[in-house]
Amino acid sequence: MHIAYQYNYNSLDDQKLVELILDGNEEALLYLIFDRYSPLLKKLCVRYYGDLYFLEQLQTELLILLKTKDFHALRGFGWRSSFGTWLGVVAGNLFIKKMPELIGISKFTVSIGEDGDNNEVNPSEPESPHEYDIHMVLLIEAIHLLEDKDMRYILLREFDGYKPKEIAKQLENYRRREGRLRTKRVNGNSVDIIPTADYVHMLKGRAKDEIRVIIKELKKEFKW
Amino acid sequence: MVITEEIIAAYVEGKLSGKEREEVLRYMEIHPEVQDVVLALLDECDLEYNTSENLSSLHAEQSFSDIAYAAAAFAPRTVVDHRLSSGAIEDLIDERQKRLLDFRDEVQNSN
Repeated sequence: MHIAYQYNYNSLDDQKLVELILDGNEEALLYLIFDRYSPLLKKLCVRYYGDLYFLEQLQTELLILLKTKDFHALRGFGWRSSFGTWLGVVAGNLFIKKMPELIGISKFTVSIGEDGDNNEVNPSEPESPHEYDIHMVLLIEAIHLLEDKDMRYILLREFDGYKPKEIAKQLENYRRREGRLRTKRVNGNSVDIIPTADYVHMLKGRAKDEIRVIIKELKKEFKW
Repeated sequence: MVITEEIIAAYVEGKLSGKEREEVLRYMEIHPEVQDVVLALLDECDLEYNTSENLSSLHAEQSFSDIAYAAAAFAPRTVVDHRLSSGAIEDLIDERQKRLLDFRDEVQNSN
């Protein structure tokens, strides 16, 4: 959706934009949702809805949620995280919550921010013991703690269903974007080292080894 | 400690103290939906959807939506449906979950 804004919000950081919103500038909120964080929201939309069909509707729902009660949620945001990550959590939670209504699927139970007032959780107990999954939590924490972000990247991509060859290409783009694509000298010329499917496979193996070590440490660290 | 969306976001960014982090992990243990959102946000490469290729496919989709909405005005509601069926979306989510569980089991079994 293309929106012609009255002001150029591009040059303003998130904190300034939130200040504008809380001063009554709703257009700044439109900009955050439909422009600046549109890529993040697209990613979440694809994750839970398979494609972008519901994107605009979900962005509008998010807009309504954030406007509710005079921007209650935004007013409560204390900048302990970046605005983008917070918005991602709020949006992810909302998108999951809307799944039964929009596509008739209730894969997850939503709990964060359910009360709508305090943006706090309803700490409901799981219905059966199998819902407790300490091993999954340890795995997520271990992935989180991986020092090599390429390892984390390929694991997350693999969980999303990409094949090693596709991941290799994505990894190449990722490194290029961050100026991390390595080069080697061939006949006096500098040549890019392009990740291959085999490389992805090898890196995944190393990631698995590191995750095992991290999980062992976590088990010692936390008393579950 | 009350686990808010802000605390979850701070966890994703690695900005919590050890005790807070532990509380978030305990919370995630019984809230799989939070696990999934955290995994989604751990992938820092959100901007891959911002390529011109993806944007053009989005624009194409919006055009399709416009046509669909226009057609919907003259069609019975039951004719209008989303592009992916609920079953297909459910399969995608199940497959992602299965890959994750398989990896978890692989790691766990070798520990």
